[in-house]
Amino acid sequence: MKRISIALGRIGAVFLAVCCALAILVFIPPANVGISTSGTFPLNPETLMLVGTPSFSLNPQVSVKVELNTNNTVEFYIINVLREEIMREVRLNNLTKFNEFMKNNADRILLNKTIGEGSTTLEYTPNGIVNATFVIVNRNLHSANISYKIELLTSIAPKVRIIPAITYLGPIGALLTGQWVFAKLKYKRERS
Amino acid sequence: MERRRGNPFLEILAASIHEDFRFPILEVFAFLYAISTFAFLGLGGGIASMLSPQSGEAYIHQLVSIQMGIPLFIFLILIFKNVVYGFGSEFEKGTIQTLLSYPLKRHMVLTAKLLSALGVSLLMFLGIQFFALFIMAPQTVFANLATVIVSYLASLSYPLFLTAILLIVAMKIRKGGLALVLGIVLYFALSVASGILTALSITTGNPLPLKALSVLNPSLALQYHFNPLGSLVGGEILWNPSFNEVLAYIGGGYCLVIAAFLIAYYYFSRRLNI
Repeated sequence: MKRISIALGRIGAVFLAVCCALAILVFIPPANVGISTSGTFPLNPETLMLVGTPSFSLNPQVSVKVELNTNNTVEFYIINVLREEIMREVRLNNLTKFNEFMKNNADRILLNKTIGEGSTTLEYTPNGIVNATFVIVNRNLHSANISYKIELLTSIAPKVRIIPAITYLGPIGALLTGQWVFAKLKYKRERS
Repeated sequence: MERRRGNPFLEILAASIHEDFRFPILEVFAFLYAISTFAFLGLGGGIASMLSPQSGEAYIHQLVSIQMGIPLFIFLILIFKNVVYGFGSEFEKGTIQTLLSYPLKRHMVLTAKLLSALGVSLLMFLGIQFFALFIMAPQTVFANLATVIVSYLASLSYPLFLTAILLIVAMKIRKGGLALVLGIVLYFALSVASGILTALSITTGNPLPLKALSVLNPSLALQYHFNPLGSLVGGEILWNPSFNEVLAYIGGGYCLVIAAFLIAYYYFSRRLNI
Protein backbone atom coordinates (compact mmCIF):
# COMPACT_ATOMS: atom_id res chain seq x y z
CA MET A 1 0.00 0.00 0.00
CA LYS A 2 1.31 3.44 -0.87
CA ARG A 3 2.47 5.50 2.08
CA ILE A 4 0.93 8.66 0.66
CA SER A 5 -2.46 6.94 0.62
CA ILE A 6 -2.07 5.91 4.28
CA ALA A 7 -0.90 9.40 5.30
CA LEU A 8 -3.80 11.11 3.51
CA GLY A 9 -6.21 8.56 4.97
CA ARG A 10 -5.04 9.23 8.51
CA ILE A 11 -5.28 13.00 7.93
CA GLY A 12 -8.83 12.44 6.69
CA ALA A 13 -9.65 10.36 9.77
CA VAL A 14 -8.31 13.21 11.97
CA PHE A 15 -10.58 15.65 10.10
CA LEU A 16 -13.53 13.34 10.73
CA ALA A 17 -12.63 13.08 14.44
CA VAL A 18 -12.53 16.89 14.68
CA CYS A 19 -15.89 17.11 12.86
CA CYS A 20 -17.33 14.58 15.31
CA ALA A 21 -16.17 16.71 18.27
CA LEU A 22 -17.60 19.87 16.70
CA ALA A 23 -20.91 18.14 15.93
CA ILE A 24 -21.25 17.16 19.61
CA LEU A 25 -20.54 20.75 20.69
CA VAL A 26 -23.12 22.18 18.28
CA PHE A 27 -25.85 20.28 20.11
CA ILE A 28 -25.08 22.03 23.40
CA PRO A 29 -27.55 24.94 23.48
CA PRO A 30 -26.38 28.50 24.25
CA ALA A 31 -26.89 29.66 27.83
CA ASN A 32 -28.36 32.96 28.93
CA VAL A 33 -25.72 34.79 30.97
CA GLY A 34 -28.36 36.73 32.89
CA ILE A 35 -27.78 40.08 31.20
CA SER A 36 -30.82 41.36 29.33
CA THR A 37 -32.73 44.54 28.64
CA SER A 38 -36.31 44.99 27.49
CA GLY A 39 -38.90 47.69 26.95
CA THR A 40 -41.93 48.93 25.06
CA PHE A 41 -42.24 52.35 23.40
CA PRO A 42 -43.98 54.17 20.57
CA LEU A 43 -41.63 55.31 17.81
CA ASN A 44 -42.65 58.50 16.01
CA PRO A 45 -42.60 58.68 12.19
CA GLU A 46 -39.21 59.37 10.59
CA THR A 47 -37.31 59.04 13.81
CA LEU A 48 -35.08 56.55 15.61
CA MET A 49 -34.42 55.18 19.08
CA LEU A 50 -31.32 53.75 20.73
CA VAL A 51 -32.35 50.72 22.73
CA GLY A 52 -30.57 48.83 25.49
CA THR A 53 -28.34 50.61 27.97
CA PRO A 54 -25.38 50.79 27.95
CA SER A 55 -23.61 49.43 24.85
CA PHE A 56 -22.89 45.71 25.16
CA SER A 57 -19.34 44.44 24.82
CA LEU A 58 -19.60 41.35 22.61
CA ASN A 59 -16.99 38.86 21.53
CA PRO A 60 -17.14 35.66 19.46
CA GLN A 61 -18.27 33.60 22.46
CA VAL A 62 -20.95 36.05 23.48
CA SER A 63 -23.76 36.42 20.99
CA VAL A 64 -26.84 38.56 21.24
CA LYS A 65 -30.45 37.48 20.81
CA VAL A 66 -32.98 40.19 19.95
CA GLU A 67 -36.75 39.69 20.08
CA LEU A 68 -38.72 42.47 18.39
CA ASN A 69 -42.46 42.98 18.17
CA THR A 70 -43.75 45.83 16.03
CA ASN A 71 -47.00 46.91 14.35
CA ASN A 72 -45.20 48.66 11.48
CA THR A 73 -42.12 48.03 9.32
CA VAL A 74 -38.96 49.30 11.01
CA GLU A 75 -35.21 48.94 10.50
CA PHE A 76 -33.00 47.37 13.14
CA TYR A 77 -29.27 48.13 13.34
CA ILE A 78 -26.43 46.77 15.43
CA ILE A 79 -23.54 49.23 15.19
CA ASN A 80 -19.99 48.84 16.51
CA VAL A 81 -19.91 52.16 18.32
CA LEU A 82 -20.26 53.37 21.89
CA ARG A 83 -23.70 54.69 22.73
CA GLU A 84 -22.28 58.06 23.84
CA GLU A 85 -20.61 58.57 20.47
CA ILE A 86 -23.73 57.99 18.43
CA MET A 87 -25.77 60.16 20.81
CA ARG A 88 -23.27 62.98 20.33
CA GLU A 89 -23.42 62.66 16.54
CA VAL A 90 -27.15 62.08 16.14
CA ARG A 91 -28.74 64.71 18.37
CA LEU A 92 -32.48 64.56 19.12
CA ASN A 93 -32.72 61.31 17.20
CA ASN A 94 -32.55 63.21 13.92
CA LEU A 95 -32.95 60.77 11.00
CA THR A 96 -30.99 62.94 8.53
CA LYS A 97 -28.02 63.11 10.89
CA PHE A 98 -28.30 59.36 11.53
CA ASN A 99 -28.23 58.66 7.77
CA GLU A 100 -25.17 60.89 7.47
CA PHE A 101 -23.50 59.10 10.38
CA MET A 102 -24.23 55.70 8.85
CA LYS A 103 -22.88 56.83 5.48
CA ASN A 104 -19.62 57.91 7.09
CA ASN A 105 -19.37 54.79 9.26
CA ALA A 106 -20.65 52.08 6.92
CA ASP A 107 -17.87 49.72 8.02
CA ARG A 108 -19.15 49.82 11.60
CA ILE A 109 -22.60 48.44 10.76
CA LEU A 110 -22.63 44.91 12.13
CA LEU A 111 -26.23 44.05 11.28
CA ASN A 112 -28.99 45.81 9.36
CA LYS A 113 -32.39 44.14 9.06
CA THR A 114 -35.78 45.36 7.96
CA ILE A 115 -38.36 44.05 10.42
CA GLY A 116 -41.92 43.57 9.25
CA GLU A 117 -45.09 43.62 11.33
CA GLY A 118 -45.30 40.98 14.02
CA SER A 119 -42.73 39.20 16.09
CA THR A 120 -39.15 38.66 14.92
CA THR A 121 -36.15 37.04 16.58
CA LEU A 122 -32.59 37.80 15.50
CA GLU A 123 -29.25 36.39 16.63
CA TYR A 124 -25.87 37.91 16.03
CA THR A 125 -22.37 36.61 16.82
CA PRO A 126 -19.44 38.97 16.14
CA ASN A 127 -16.09 38.01 14.59
CA GLY A 128 -14.08 39.95 17.17
CA ILE A 129 -14.54 42.27 20.14
CA VAL A 130 -17.22 44.89 19.45
CA ASN A 131 -19.19 47.49 21.39
CA ALA A 132 -22.69 46.84 20.15
CA THR A 133 -25.25 49.65 20.15
CA PHE A 134 -28.78 48.82 19.03
CA VAL A 135 -30.83 51.26 16.98
CA ILE A 136 -34.42 50.99 15.74
CA VAL A 137 -35.37 53.33 12.88
CA ASN A 138 -38.89 54.14 11.74
CA ARG A 139 -38.74 55.57 8.20
CA ASN A 140 -42.54 55.44 7.75
CA LEU A 141 -45.02 58.26 7.94
CA HIS A 142 -46.91 56.43 10.71
CA SER A 143 -45.72 55.77 14.23
CA ALA A 144 -44.86 52.24 15.36
CA ASN A 145 -45.40 50.54 18.70
CA ILE A 146 -42.34 48.49 19.49
CA SER A 147 -41.51 46.05 22.25
CA TYR A 148 -38.05 44.55 22.43
CA LYS A 149 -35.97 42.18 24.48
CA ILE A 150 -32.19 41.92 24.11
CA GLU A 151 -30.38 39.01 25.78
CA LEU A 152 -26.72 38.06 25.89
CA LEU A 153 -26.03 34.39 25.24
CA THR A 154 -22.84 32.48 25.69
CA SER A 155 -22.30 29.36 23.65
CA ILE A 156 -19.55 26.78 23.71
CA ALA A 157 -19.44 26.75 19.94
CA PRO A 158 -21.51 29.26 17.96
CA LYS A 159 -23.44 27.43 15.25
CA VAL A 160 -22.81 30.15 12.67
CA ARG A 161 -19.09 29.41 12.84
CA ILE A 162 -19.05 25.68 13.55
CA ILE A 163 -21.50 24.44 10.92
CA PRO A 164 -19.56 25.92 7.94
CA ALA A 165 -16.38 24.36 9.37
CA ILE A 166 -18.07 20.95 9.56
CA THR A 167 -19.47 21.47 6.05
CA TYR A 168 -15.96 21.91 4.63
CA LEU A 169 -13.97 19.53 6.85
CA GLY A 170 -16.46 16.64 6.77
CA PRO A 171 -16.48 15.92 3.01
CA ILE A 172 -12.68 16.41 2.74
CA GLY A 173 -12.19 14.01 5.65
CA ALA A 174 -14.63 11.48 4.19
CA LEU A 175 -12.92 11.66 0.79
CA LEU A 176 -9.42 11.19 2.19
CA THR A 177 -10.49 8.40 4.55
CA GLY A 178 -12.56 6.76 1.82
CA GLN A 179 -9.61 6.39 -0.56
CA TRP A 180 -7.55 4.89 2.29
CA VAL A 181 -10.24 2.36 3.20
CA PHE A 182 -10.74 1.52 -0.49
CA ALA A 183 -6.98 1.07 -1.01
CA LYS A 184 -6.75 -1.10 2.12
CA LEU A 185 -9.61 -3.34 0.97
CA LYS A 186 -8.04 -3.65 -2.47
CA TYR A 187 -4.67 -4.50 -0.89
CA LYS A 188 -6.26 -7.19 1.30
CA ARG A 189 -8.09 -8.70 -1.68
CA GLU A 190 -4.88 -8.82 -3.71
CA ARG A 191 -3.03 -10.55 -0.88
CA SER A 192 -5.67 -13.21 -0.26
CA MET B 1 21.59 -1.15 -7.13
CA GLU B 2 22.31 2.12 -5.34
CA ARG B 3 19.78 2.94 -2.67
CA ARG B 4 18.38 6.46 -2.88
CA ARG B 5 19.64 8.86 -0.18
CA GLY B 6 17.11 9.80 2.46
CA ASN B 7 15.19 6.55 2.27
CA PRO B 8 16.48 5.05 5.55
CA PHE B 9 15.41 8.24 7.31
CA LEU B 10 11.93 7.99 5.81
CA GLU B 11 11.80 4.27 6.67
CA ILE B 12 12.53 5.01 10.33
CA LEU B 13 10.14 7.97 10.35
CA ALA B 14 7.33 5.89 8.82
CA ALA B 15 7.96 2.99 11.21
CA SER B 16 8.00 5.37 14.19
CA ILE B 17 4.78 7.09 13.14
CA HIS B 18 3.17 3.69 12.61
CA GLU B 19 4.29 2.59 16.09
CA ASP B 20 3.47 5.85 17.92
CA PHE B 21 0.11 6.50 16.29
CA ARG B 22 -1.52 3.15 15.65
CA PHE B 23 -5.13 3.53 14.49
CA PRO B 24 -7.11 5.08 16.23
CA ILE B 25 -4.69 6.79 18.70
CA LEU B 26 -4.16 9.83 16.44
CA GLU B 27 -7.90 10.20 15.83
CA VAL B 28 -8.81 9.83 19.53
CA PHE B 29 -6.30 12.50 20.49
CA ALA B 30 -7.55 14.78 17.67
CA PHE B 31 -11.08 14.35 19.04
CA LEU B 32 -9.91 15.12 22.59
CA TYR B 33 -7.92 18.17 21.44
CA ALA B 34 -10.89 19.54 19.48
CA ILE B 35 -13.53 18.98 22.14
CA SER B 36 -11.41 20.34 25.01
CA THR B 37 -10.20 23.33 22.97
CA PHE B 38 -13.69 24.44 21.96
CA ALA B 39 -15.31 23.62 25.30
CA PHE B 40 -12.83 25.70 27.30
CA LEU B 41 -12.80 28.47 24.71
CA GLY B 42 -16.56 28.77 24.94
CA LEU B 43 -17.03 28.23 28.65
CA GLY B 44 -14.20 30.37 29.96
CA GLY B 45 -13.40 32.92 27.29
CA GLY B 46 -16.86 34.29 26.77
CA ILE B 47 -18.03 35.04 30.26
CA ALA B 48 -14.68 36.24 31.62
CA SER B 49 -14.02 38.72 28.84
CA MET B 50 -17.60 39.99 28.88
CA LEU B 51 -17.48 40.76 32.59
CA SER B 52 -14.21 42.67 32.27
CA PRO B 53 -13.91 44.23 28.81
CA GLN B 54 -10.23 44.50 27.89
CA SER B 55 -7.95 45.45 25.03
CA GLY B 56 -7.63 43.16 22.01
CA GLU B 57 -4.18 41.95 23.09
CA ALA B 58 -5.24 41.09 26.64
CA TYR B 59 -8.40 39.42 25.35
CA ILE B 60 -6.55 37.28 22.82
CA HIS B 61 -3.96 36.27 25.43
CA GLN B 62 -6.77 35.28 27.80
CA LEU B 63 -8.46 33.37 24.97
CA VAL B 64 -5.26 31.49 24.09
CA SER B 65 -4.50 30.72 27.77
CA ILE B 66 -7.99 29.39 28.43
CA GLN B 67 -8.22 27.29 25.29
CA MET B 68 -4.73 25.88 25.81
CA GLY B 69 -5.27 24.65 29.41
CA ILE B 70 -6.59 21.11 29.02
CA PRO B 71 -5.30 20.50 25.44
CA LEU B 72 -1.76 21.26 26.68
CA PHE B 73 -2.20 18.60 29.35
CA ILE B 74 -3.46 16.15 26.69
CA PHE B 75 -0.44 17.10 24.57
CA LEU B 76 1.81 16.26 27.53
CA ILE B 77 0.10 12.87 27.93
CA LEU B 78 0.76 12.13 24.25
CA ILE B 79 4.38 13.24 24.62
CA PHE B 80 4.81 11.08 27.73
CA LYS B 81 3.35 8.12 25.85
CA ASN B 82 5.46 8.57 22.73
CA VAL B 83 8.74 10.04 23.93
CA VAL B 84 9.10 8.76 27.48
CA TYR B 85 7.29 5.41 27.43
CA GLY B 86 7.76 4.69 23.72
CA PHE B 87 11.43 5.57 23.58
CA GLY B 88 12.19 3.88 26.91
CA SER B 89 10.44 0.72 25.72
CA GLU B 90 12.52 0.68 22.53
CA PHE B 91 15.61 0.34 24.73
CA GLU B 92 13.94 -2.18 27.04
CA LYS B 93 12.78 -4.45 24.19
CA GLY B 94 15.95 -3.92 22.19
CA THR B 95 14.13 -2.67 19.08
CA ILE B 96 16.39 0.39 19.07
CA GLN B 97 19.12 -1.90 17.73
CA THR B 98 17.06 -2.50 14.60
CA LEU B 99 16.82 1.24 14.04
CA LEU B 100 20.54 1.70 14.62
CA SER B 101 21.30 -0.98 12.02
CA TYR B 102 20.04 1.36 9.26
CA PRO B 103 22.79 3.10 7.26
CA LEU B 104 22.10 6.37 9.03
CA LYS B 105 23.93 8.47 11.59
CA ARG B 106 22.63 8.20 15.12
CA HIS B 107 21.54 11.82 15.33
CA MET B 108 19.37 11.28 12.25
CA VAL B 109 17.76 8.25 13.90
CA LEU B 110 16.93 10.38 16.93
CA THR B 111 15.62 13.17 14.65
CA ALA B 112 13.30 10.70 12.91
CA LYS B 113 12.05 9.39 16.28
CA LEU B 114 11.47 12.92 17.60
CA LEU B 115 9.78 14.05 14.39
CA SER B 116 7.30 11.24 14.86
CA ALA B 117 6.82 11.44 18.64
CA LEU B 118 7.00 15.19 19.10
CA GLY B 119 6.56 16.72 15.63
CA VAL B 120 3.28 15.02 14.72
CA SER B 121 1.81 15.68 18.19
CA LEU B 122 2.87 19.34 18.06
CA LEU B 123 1.53 19.77 14.53
CA MET B 124 -1.85 18.35 15.50
CA PHE B 125 -2.00 20.37 18.74
CA LEU B 126 -1.13 23.67 17.03
CA GLY B 127 -3.28 22.89 13.99
CA ILE B 128 -6.42 22.39 16.09
CA GLN B 129 -5.63 25.35 18.35
CA PHE B 130 -5.19 27.78 15.43
CA PHE B 131 -8.22 26.32 13.66
CA ALA B 132 -10.30 27.00 16.78
CA LEU B 133 -8.97 30.53 17.12
CA PHE B 134 -9.61 31.38 13.47
CA ILE B 135 -13.11 29.96 13.68
CA MET B 136 -14.08 31.67 16.92
CA ALA B 137 -12.37 35.06 16.68
CA PRO B 138 -10.93 35.62 13.18
CA GLN B 139 -10.81 39.42 13.29
CA THR B 140 -9.24 39.62 16.73
CA VAL B 141 -6.70 36.90 15.88
CA PHE B 142 -5.63 38.60 12.63
CA ALA B 143 -5.33 41.94 14.42
CA ASN B 144 -3.22 40.44 17.25
CA LEU B 145 -1.31 37.67 15.49
CA ALA B 146 1.96 38.64 17.23
CA THR B 147 0.34 38.21 20.67
CA VAL B 148 -1.07 34.82 19.62
CA ILE B 149 2.35 33.59 18.46
CA VAL B 150 4.12 34.94 21.57
CA SER B 151 1.49 33.30 23.81
CA TYR B 152 2.04 29.91 22.16
CA LEU B 153 5.83 30.25 22.22
CA ALA B 154 5.71 31.13 25.92
CA SER B 155 3.38 28.26 26.80
CA LEU B 156 5.21 25.58 24.80
CA SER B 157 8.66 26.30 26.18
CA TYR B 158 8.07 24.46 29.47
CA PRO B 159 6.53 21.26 27.96
CA LEU B 160 9.36 21.10 25.40
CA PHE B 161 11.98 21.51 28.13
CA LEU B 162 10.28 18.76 30.13
CA THR B 163 10.26 16.54 27.01
CA ALA B 164 14.00 17.02 26.49
CA ILE B 165 14.77 16.23 30.15
CA LEU B 166 12.57 13.13 30.08
CA LEU B 167 14.16 12.00 26.81
CA ILE B 168 17.55 12.03 28.56
CA VAL B 169 16.02 10.19 31.55
CA ALA B 170 14.48 7.54 29.22
CA MET B 171 17.84 7.00 27.49
CA LYS B 172 19.66 6.79 30.80
CA ILE B 173 17.41 4.33 32.64
CA ARG B 174 16.30 2.44 29.47
CA LYS B 175 12.98 1.32 30.93
CA GLY B 176 9.69 2.61 29.49
CA GLY B 177 7.48 2.14 32.55
CA LEU B 178 9.98 3.57 35.02
CA ALA B 179 10.71 6.53 32.75
CA LEU B 180 6.99 7.24 32.51
CA VAL B 181 6.58 7.16 36.30
CA LEU B 182 9.59 9.45 36.73
CA GLY B 183 8.17 11.80 34.10
CA ILE B 184 4.84 12.06 35.90
CA VAL B 185 6.59 12.59 39.25
CA LEU B 186 8.83 15.30 37.74
CA TYR B 187 5.84 17.05 36.13
CA PHE B 188 3.89 17.19 39.39
CA ALA B 189 6.97 18.09 41.44
CA LEU B 190 7.66 21.05 39.14
CA SER B 191 4.00 22.10 39.31
CA VAL B 192 4.08 22.01 43.13
CA ALA B 193 7.39 23.91 43.20
CA SER B 194 5.87 26.49 40.85
CA GLY B 195 2.89 26.96 43.18
CA ILE B 196 5.11 27.30 46.26
CA LEU B 197 7.40 29.84 44.58
CA THR B 198 4.40 31.91 43.40
CA ALA B 199 2.93 31.91 46.92
CA LEU B 200 6.34 32.82 48.35
CA SER B 201 6.62 35.79 45.99
CA ILE B 202 3.18 37.09 46.87
CA THR B 203 3.56 36.73 50.63
CA THR B 204 7.11 38.10 50.88
CA GLY B 205 6.63 40.80 48.26
CA ASN B 206 9.79 39.68 46.46
CA PRO B 207 9.30 38.83 42.76
CA LEU B 208 12.71 37.12 42.42
CA PRO B 209 11.42 33.50 42.73
CA LEU B 210 8.83 34.27 40.04
CA LYS B 211 11.47 35.77 37.77
CA ALA B 212 13.60 32.65 38.16
CA LEU B 213 10.57 30.45 37.51
CA SER B 214 9.69 32.48 34.41
CA VAL B 215 12.95 31.43 32.73
CA LEU B 216 11.70 27.84 32.94
CA ASN B 217 8.08 28.75 32.23
CA PRO B 218 7.90 32.08 30.29
CA SER B 219 4.09 31.96 30.16
CA LEU B 220 4.16 33.24 33.76
CA ALA B 221 5.97 36.41 32.67
CA LEU B 222 3.45 36.90 29.86
CA GLN B 223 0.56 36.36 32.25
CA TYR B 224 1.90 39.02 34.64
CA HIS B 225 2.54 41.35 31.70
CA PHE B 226 -1.18 41.44 30.98
CA ASN B 227 -2.38 41.00 34.60
CA PRO B 228 0.18 42.59 36.95
CA LEU B 229 0.86 40.60 40.10
CA GLY B 230 -0.24 42.39 43.26
CA SER B 231 1.41 41.90 46.63
CA LEU B 232 -0.48 40.93 49.77
CA VAL B 233 1.82 43.32 51.65
CA GLY B 234 0.58 46.85 50.97
CA GLY B 235 -1.34 45.80 47.86
CA GLU B 236 1.15 47.44 45.48
CA ILE B 237 2.07 45.96 42.09
CA LEU B 238 4.73 43.35 42.68
CA TRP B 239 5.69 42.44 39.16
CA ASN B 240 4.58 43.74 35.79
CA PRO B 241 7.20 42.82 33.19
CA SER B 242 7.35 44.80 29.95
CA PHE B 243 6.78 43.06 26.60
CA ASN B 244 10.53 43.16 25.87
CA GLU B 245 11.23 41.48 29.20
CA VAL B 246 8.69 38.79 28.30
CA LEU B 247 10.51 38.23 24.99
CA ALA B 248 13.79 37.94 26.91
CA TYR B 249 12.25 35.29 29.21
CA ILE B 250 10.93 33.39 26.17
CA GLY B 251 14.40 33.57 24.59
CA GLY B 252 15.92 32.29 27.84
CA GLY B 253 13.38 29.48 28.04
CA TYR B 254 14.13 28.31 24.49
CA CYS B 255 17.89 28.50 25.16
CA LEU B 256 17.27 25.97 27.96
CA VAL B 257 15.16 23.82 25.61
CA ILE B 258 17.86 23.87 22.92
CA ALA B 259 20.57 23.09 25.49
CA ALA B 260 18.59 20.13 26.87
CA PHE B 261 17.96 18.72 23.37
CA LEU B 262 21.64 19.19 22.44
CA ILE B 263 22.62 17.19 25.54
CA ALA B 264 20.11 14.49 24.52
CA TYR B 265 21.54 14.40 20.98
CA TYR B 266 25.13 14.31 22.28
CA TYR B 267 24.29 11.48 24.70
CA PHE B 268 22.47 9.46 22.02
CA SER B 269 25.20 9.98 19.39
CA ARG B 270 28.35 9.65 21.46
CA ARG B 271 27.75 8.23 24.91
CA LEU B 272 25.05 5.63 24.48
CA ASN B 273 26.39 2.09 24.46
CA ILE B 274 24.07 -0.37 22.78
